[in-house]
Amino acid sequence: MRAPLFHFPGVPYGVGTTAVEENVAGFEGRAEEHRLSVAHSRTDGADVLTVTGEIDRDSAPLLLRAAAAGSGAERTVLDFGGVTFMDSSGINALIAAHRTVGERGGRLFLAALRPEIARIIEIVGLDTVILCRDSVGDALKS
Amino acid sequence: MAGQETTGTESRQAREPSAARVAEVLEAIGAGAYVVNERGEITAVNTAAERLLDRTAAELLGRDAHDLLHRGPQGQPLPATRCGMRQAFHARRTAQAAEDHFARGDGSVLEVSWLVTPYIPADGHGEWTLVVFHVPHREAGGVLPAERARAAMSEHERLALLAETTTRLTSTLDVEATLRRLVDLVLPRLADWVVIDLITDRDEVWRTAVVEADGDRLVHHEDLEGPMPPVPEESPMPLSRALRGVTSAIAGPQTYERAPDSGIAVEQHRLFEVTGMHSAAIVPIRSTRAVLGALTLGRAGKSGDFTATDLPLFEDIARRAALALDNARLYQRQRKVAETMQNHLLPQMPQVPGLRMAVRYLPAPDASQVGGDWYDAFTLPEGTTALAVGDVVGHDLEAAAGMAQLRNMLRAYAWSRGTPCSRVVERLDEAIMPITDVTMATLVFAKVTAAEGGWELSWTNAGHPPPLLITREGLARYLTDGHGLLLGTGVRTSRPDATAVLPLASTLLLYTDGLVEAPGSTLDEGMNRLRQHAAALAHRPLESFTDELLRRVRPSGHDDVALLALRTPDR
Repeated sequence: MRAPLFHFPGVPYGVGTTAVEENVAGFEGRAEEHRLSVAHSRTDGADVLTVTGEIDRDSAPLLLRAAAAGSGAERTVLDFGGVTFMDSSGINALIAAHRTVGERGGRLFLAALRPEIARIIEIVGLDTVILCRDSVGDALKS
Repeated sequence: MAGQETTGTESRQAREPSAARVAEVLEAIGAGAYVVNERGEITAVNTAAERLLDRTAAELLGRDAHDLLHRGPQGQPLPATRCGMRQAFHARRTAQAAEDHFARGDGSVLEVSWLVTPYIPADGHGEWTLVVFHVPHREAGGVLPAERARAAMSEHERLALLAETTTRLTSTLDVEATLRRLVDLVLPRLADWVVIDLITDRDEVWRTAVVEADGDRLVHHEDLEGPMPPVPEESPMPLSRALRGVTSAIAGPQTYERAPDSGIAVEQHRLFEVTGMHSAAIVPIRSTRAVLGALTLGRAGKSGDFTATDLPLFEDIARRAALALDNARLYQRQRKVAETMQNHLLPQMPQVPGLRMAVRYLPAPDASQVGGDWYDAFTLPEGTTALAVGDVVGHDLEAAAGMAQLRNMLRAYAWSRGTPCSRVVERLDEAIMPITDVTMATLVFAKVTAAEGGWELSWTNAGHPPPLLITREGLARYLTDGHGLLLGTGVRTSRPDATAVLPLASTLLLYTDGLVEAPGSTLDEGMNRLRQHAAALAHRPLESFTDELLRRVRPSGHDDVALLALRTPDR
């Protein structure tokens, strides 16, 4: 397997994505070249991270730092509705985030996955360890 | 064409009726003379021509005069388009040249002056052409010494030779072909012996080619080829210096006559002795990255020694050869990774009564993109057949090595009797981080057991595309159960097992993502395409099913593919 695990060149890239910069609890809100942005908010007592853009080797560490930082809420929701591309580095980052959140007694949710990203998550079996929900609302309620 | 039945003066004429008379006329001429027919073939020749050309009439008659005789100053074949004699011949006019060159029977080049003129045989049939030639008197014998031959090589000819060298050598990525072409380029044009010594991957010197130009033939002297002693660090001898990339040099038998300072000097002494070379030019074959070897051009039959003025041209040729060899070597080294994987790491299939299996491994067309895709099948102690197809994240050798580690560990864990697939893969996953270099991997591990009235499949899937089951009737479905997390994450999970009945004459397909993942389409589209084609091909014999499926489904190929197909018996 080449490094990009399930790479889809056909999937539109996140060109023109506006990076949302927000420094919460010490993580950088933006990866190089604006390809990935992570915005943080507190909703119903949960950390909600809105992730937008592409997750690859360069940008994956940002996702991990963001998820690890959080505010220490019991529930951390990754809103993936704006994620258009993810390679094997993204898989790694999600697993690491899952472990980090779990270690401090929290639970990690993945929400609003686009179909092509959902398929990758499903094939590599991530849905067997990370809780996946159709929407952020579902993740907050469940 | 040369008649065996003819002897003596008759041998100087071809069978055409008036040839005998023509031959008589030619004998009266006090210079070399021959007549060619409308096709340019020699029909008659006189004794003086036989002597000058060092060829018997039998060797001349019927041959194309241009091809056989006419040469450039270095003895190189002359394109008919550049031949003044040929033009006059076609135009049926008289022409002459003061300085030109014919090839003698012994391979040497004869400097000649010639006159060509139309010749109508006495019976009036045919439009023949007479060629009269002689050796200009200013030089004894007229045979060009090598020195003069080189001087005659114009700047234009040198550039043309170098351009030809580049074109011919860089148009192949095969080391053998590159060397063959190099030999063809320099023989017999520049020398009558060529020796190529190459430094191998393991820093050994290998005398790769020792070739002699024997007339038009190239003779390989394999007795002189083979491994060479190592290159001495300090030796001032020409070949040692060239192989260290230091400098080019002219050498002769006397160079290696004194007490040898190294094993290489001993070999060189032998080389000069056996080949009879009286002069040799030795230049390094050096690329921008390394010294790849040395090129030796030698003269034995031809007279005249090489001089320092010859070296720049030879160095230019060697440099171009180095570039081509360097490319070819890099390419072959990369290809070898794929070949190594296929030939040594991937196993032969076990023979299981009743079950048929087909396996394929296709490296990515771009040889640098060899991945860690693999398959395995083996028989367990209880008689069960174990199957695996997997994918290791990484590049080239790293991925190949990782997949070998994984495959061996899987075999070991699978060997313990009666362990369910899920447990085997759990153990494998626990061991990956501490004892292998693999960072991430996916695989499907399955067992096929003979059951009451059929076969049963049990499997677990670690983050891999799901197996495809196709019935004889062409119903195809993905086996999506038993799906768990990929390997190497460090997350402990309990893995699921799944089972399915394999109906009679059904086909189970395990594959890697290179088969379903294509630029410009989604994974789902790729998997749908695979299912459709697999269903359509279900009735085919297994081998042709596999080949045809790959042909139809495999995307234009940016990734490697491993595939294992299994078919159950039809009753």
